[in-house]
Formats: sequence, C-alpha cells, structure tokens
Amino acid sequence: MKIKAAGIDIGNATTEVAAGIFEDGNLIACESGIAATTGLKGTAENLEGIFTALEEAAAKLGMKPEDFDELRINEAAPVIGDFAMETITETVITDSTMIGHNPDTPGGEGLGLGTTVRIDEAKGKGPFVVIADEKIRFSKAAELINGYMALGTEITGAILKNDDGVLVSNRLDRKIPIVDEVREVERIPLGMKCAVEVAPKGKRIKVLANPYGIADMFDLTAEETEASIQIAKALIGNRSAVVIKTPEGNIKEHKIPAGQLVFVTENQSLKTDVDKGAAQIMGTAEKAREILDIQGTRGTNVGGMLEGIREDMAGRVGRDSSSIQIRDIFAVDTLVPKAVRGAMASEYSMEKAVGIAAMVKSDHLMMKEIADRLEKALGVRTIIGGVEGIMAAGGALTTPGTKAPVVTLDIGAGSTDACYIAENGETRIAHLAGAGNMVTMLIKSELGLEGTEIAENIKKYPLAKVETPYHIRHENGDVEFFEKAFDSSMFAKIVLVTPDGFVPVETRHTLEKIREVRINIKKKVLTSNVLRTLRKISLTGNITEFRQVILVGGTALDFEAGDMLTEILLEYGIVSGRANVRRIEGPRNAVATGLLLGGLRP
Amino acid sequence: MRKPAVEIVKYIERDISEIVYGIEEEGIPSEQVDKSCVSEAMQTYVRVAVYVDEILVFFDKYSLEKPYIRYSTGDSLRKIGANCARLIKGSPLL
Repeated sequence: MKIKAAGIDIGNATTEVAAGIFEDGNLIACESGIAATTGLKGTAENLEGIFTALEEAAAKLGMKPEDFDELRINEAAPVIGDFAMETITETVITDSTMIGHNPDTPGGEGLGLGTTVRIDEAKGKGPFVVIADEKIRFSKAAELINGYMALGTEITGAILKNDDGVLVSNRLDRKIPIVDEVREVERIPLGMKCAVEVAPKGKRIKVLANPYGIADMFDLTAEETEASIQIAKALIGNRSAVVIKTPEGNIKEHKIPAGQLVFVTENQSLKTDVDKGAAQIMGTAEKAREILDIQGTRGTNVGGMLEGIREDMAGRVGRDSSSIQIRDIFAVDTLVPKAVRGAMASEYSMEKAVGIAAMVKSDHLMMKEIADRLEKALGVRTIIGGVEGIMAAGGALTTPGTKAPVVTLDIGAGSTDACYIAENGETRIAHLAGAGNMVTMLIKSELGLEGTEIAENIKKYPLAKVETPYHIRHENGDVEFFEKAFDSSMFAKIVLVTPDGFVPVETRHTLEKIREVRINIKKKVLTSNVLRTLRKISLTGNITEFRQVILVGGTALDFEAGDMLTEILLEYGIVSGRANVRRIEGPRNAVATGLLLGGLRP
Repeated sequence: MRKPAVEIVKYIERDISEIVYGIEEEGIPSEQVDKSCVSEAMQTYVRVAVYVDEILVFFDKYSLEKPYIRYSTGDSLRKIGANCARLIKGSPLL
C-alpha cells in the first residue's frame, strides 16, 4: 500500500519540505519544496511559509497539500537569537586637539609647526598655520600666503574648509603642507600651537601617527606622551593630519563599563566581565557546561539584548519573562569604527568591542500548536517528528559516500547544530548560538555599514571592480569583458557579483579591505563556533576523535565558508565536505528529508 | 606624442575655468584646444566638449563617437572637471 508523507523543516530563514510516496516501506518518489520562513521560527505565523513550501512539493508529485497521509514537523527548539555589540573603549577628546581625516587630495607635502591664525590676520614673524573658511577662494588664499611669505612672515601650513588644497598649493611660491575639506574649520582654536603633516602620494604620515613624534613637536612630558597614543592611533594610515595643542586640551581612551555576564548552573553562578573579551567569556561558558540561564547587567547593550529576547519569547508563549531561560551565548572580539567625540572632521577611531549572539529555546508547546493548526487546516495527521539535529543527520546520510560514525554539522542563520552518530546508532547532539547572522552583523559593524542588507550581500557574494566602461576585474584577479558598457555611475565602483547582476557597494573602503574583513570574520566565527560545537559533543573533549563531518544548512551553501571549514577541520585530521542530500539537493533539505525518512536509519 | 590627459573644446564662448580647476585639484593635467584642431581620432584620454545647452564628456576607453557622460549646463563645472580627472585616475565619480 502507498503512504504519502512529507517532512517539514521550519528554519530561521527558510522552510523546507521533502514530500515522498512510500510503497511497502520503500520510497518510490520524492520531491522538495522551499519557501522563506514567515514570522519567527516556532510560532503560528510559520503556517503561511509551510503551506507555500508544501504546495510546491505536492504539486511536483501531482498532489495537493490535503492529499498527504501524514505530515512530520521538526521538534524544533524554536530559537530566538539576537546579537548585540558592546563597545569597550572610546576615544574622547576634551577640547579640540586633532584633525585626522583623509581628504582625497591634500595639497603640498611635509610637516609644519606654527600658531593657528585666520588667513587674513597673520601679522608678525610667525611661524603660523593659516586657516581659511569656505568664503576664501583658492586664488585669494594663495595670494595672501605668498604675500605674507614675501614680507618675511613664516607660514608653515594651511587648513582649508574647501576642497582646494592642490589648487592653493600649485599657486604658492614655496610649498607648505595643506589639509583641506575640514568641515568644522570654525571650531579650530586660534592662537594655539599646531602641527600639519601631509605625506607624499602613496605614503602615510609618519610624525603625527607616532606618539614620540607628537611629543617632539609639542615638547610633551612622558605622561602626556602616553596619552598622545590615542591621537596617534586615530591618525595611523592617514595621508594628512593636523594636531593642535590647547592648554586644557586632553585626549584619552575611556573604558566604558560593559557590565557582567552571569552563567547560572545547577549548583553555582559563574561571572565574567564583558570587557575582558571573547576568550574569557567563552572560557567561562565552557567551564559552566550545562547552563541553565544567562543574565547580563541591566543598562548595558548585552544586558538589554538578553532581556529583549527573553521578553520576546515570553510574549510569544504567553508566559512571564522570568521563566524564559537563555541557554547559550557566543562571543567574538571585534573592532568597530566609532566617531571620535570632540573631533572636527568626523574622524573615527577603531574601538574594541565584543559581539555577542544569544539563543533561547522555548518549550514544545509551541510546536504542538503549529502541528495542531496544520492538522486542522489540512485535515492531515501531523506529528512532531524528532530532534532537529538527529533529523539533519538522517538527511545528510543520504549523501553518497557517507556512513556512521559521522558528525553532521548544520550551520544555519541563527544557530549551529551538531549531531554525532556512532556505528551502533547512538547519538549525541549540541545546539548552540552563533551562525550566519552573526557573520552579517560583524561585517556590518567592522565596515561601519548603514544597513544589514548590504552586509548580508557582502557576506553572500564575491566582489569585483569596474575598471573601464567595458570590463571588470573579479576579486580573484580574473578579468571579464562585456559587450554593453557600464553606465558612468558604475565607473570604478566596487560591485557585488550577484545572480541578478552587479550591485555597487557604496563605500570608501578598498576592495581588498572589504574582502579581508569578510574572510577574517567568516574564519573567526566559523572556526571558534564549530570547534566549540564539536567539543560539546565529544566524549573526550578532544575533537580529533571524529573522523568525518558532513556540512549541511545555509552556511554550507556560502561561496567560500564550506571550503574554509574543510580547511579548518583538516588541521585536526577530520575529513569534511558539503552534503548532497538525496544526491540532488546539495546541503539543503537535510532536516526535511530526515523527517520524511522517519529519522535515522544508519 | 599623445597628450596624457583631458582636452577641453569650447564650441561656444563661456568661462569654463572651474572645469579646469576641478581637473587641477585632482592632480591631472588638462589643455584647452581650439575646435578647429579637434581630430576624429582621440588624441587624449578624455575630451570635454562644451556646447550651449550641454557639456559632453568623451572617454577613449568608451567610444570615440559617443559621449560617456552628458551634463546639463546647470551642473557644477568644478564637479564635471573632477569627474573628467577621475575617469583617468580610475576613481568613482562624484
């Protein structure tokens, strides 16, 4: 007799269906369906996405969703994951002391030291650094400076509001360093000692990016020199910079209290300071082993994020937020560009930060509700089919060339799941926070991007640069020519190579920088999270006990992450590769297939 | 010897020094040439043709016949100049 069944996997990002017809226990036909998950995973809002995916798979079998004999949905631990960034340091300039931006075209070159003065008021011997607002045209500025020099007044540098540095420089009798495009030129204090440095083309400033260079310029004491590292730090890599010393001027790196994380276990509470960094946080988390709940200090970003997901989940299950437990977090060290407080040309400084992803599991009641509603709507018996990790393994093992003992690693958008299957069918599973979404958030913050969508696209697609109207150079160096010219708005732009064409990335970063950040973040997140997930399911705590790892889930589809993982795991002597579920699905549809097949059949 | 840079051709009488300044600020040499000296084959990387109602930018890597960018007379001349230089530098346009 024939049985028509479907496995339904509701993921954080996609809902997948594997629909099949069994005859006398043998699968004789099987098709897949896929749709975007509607609403948050594990909530009644998912039904819409389920119907879409189910209809697609059913139609391929010439059926309707109502025609199934049985539906099996994953006993998903509905996961609410979120991500927060806690900045640990910030640079504060109490009173204006520095300008360190990178105009495209500063003028002249060299290093000049002088007293700040308005360009039309330089009287006396000098040396002066002259300051011009937007009302002074470049020809007037050059005329004034040449006039002062002719009268014996020493002019050592210039700071301009307009983008005129080269134009002024080209009209001077003697070259001086000129920094232009300083937006808040009015805020520069007058009558103060000031150093201006412009590096030759292709070079970076040397003196003002070095604390001892700054000390030498301004006769600083040893203590003041130490504080000036904050100026130097913010100026490293620039082609031009200005540093002004005011009597009360001060600059310091300020440590922001980032609060604590508390890991509650059966018999103890382990605390760690967030500002100690990711290694210490994750060390404490692993020490705690079976975590019952995680709490964060109120008033901090991480504390707020943890409370936020607790309340979110509480609202969805209609319970008190104090009864919702956060079972896992994953922390990564990062650097984020932050505006320097008190700066004059929107300078930023790379500040230390910790990114933390957290995860909360709800109870099975929610899945029961989805199952009940589905059953009611379609009139088809619906059961909760088994633990997600084990189901994924069941699907992954349909990949040619695989057999137990093996680990299935499912890196999705919100969580990382691992399932070990021994030869005798015994399983060990882990379900941990931190996956694809975290990579997106880190790309967004490290590159200082405005939106999440662009960060997501940078994660997903390789880069290229439009070099001429007719050709692009891909990030691996390959050149591709086109019959039709690129519009001038695309000229010299960095673009993402997407299936829908080239999408420009609006940024001042170079292609190399974006690529480096993307690759480093993927490696950082994947390596540390995969290794800790494997440690969690290992009996010995030593992951070399595993021989094979099959990769499934969204991250395995990433254009480079799969290969990165293969390389990382090879260092531990572990063979790994992407699954090819049912020989056709690639790393997709593993859980749905596992559900359809009724779980594990080692 | 071919001239490296931007050639500016005026087909009308108009003060276009701001275009020249825009190119100069970007650090690229430019030259104004008489319209009678313009040859069909481009002798320069970029040619800017200034007409009554529009300013056309020809780029040798695009086409000798068709302009790569069309500006209206209302556009900032300084920006047009900067963009001509940026075509040569391979920098994104403003």
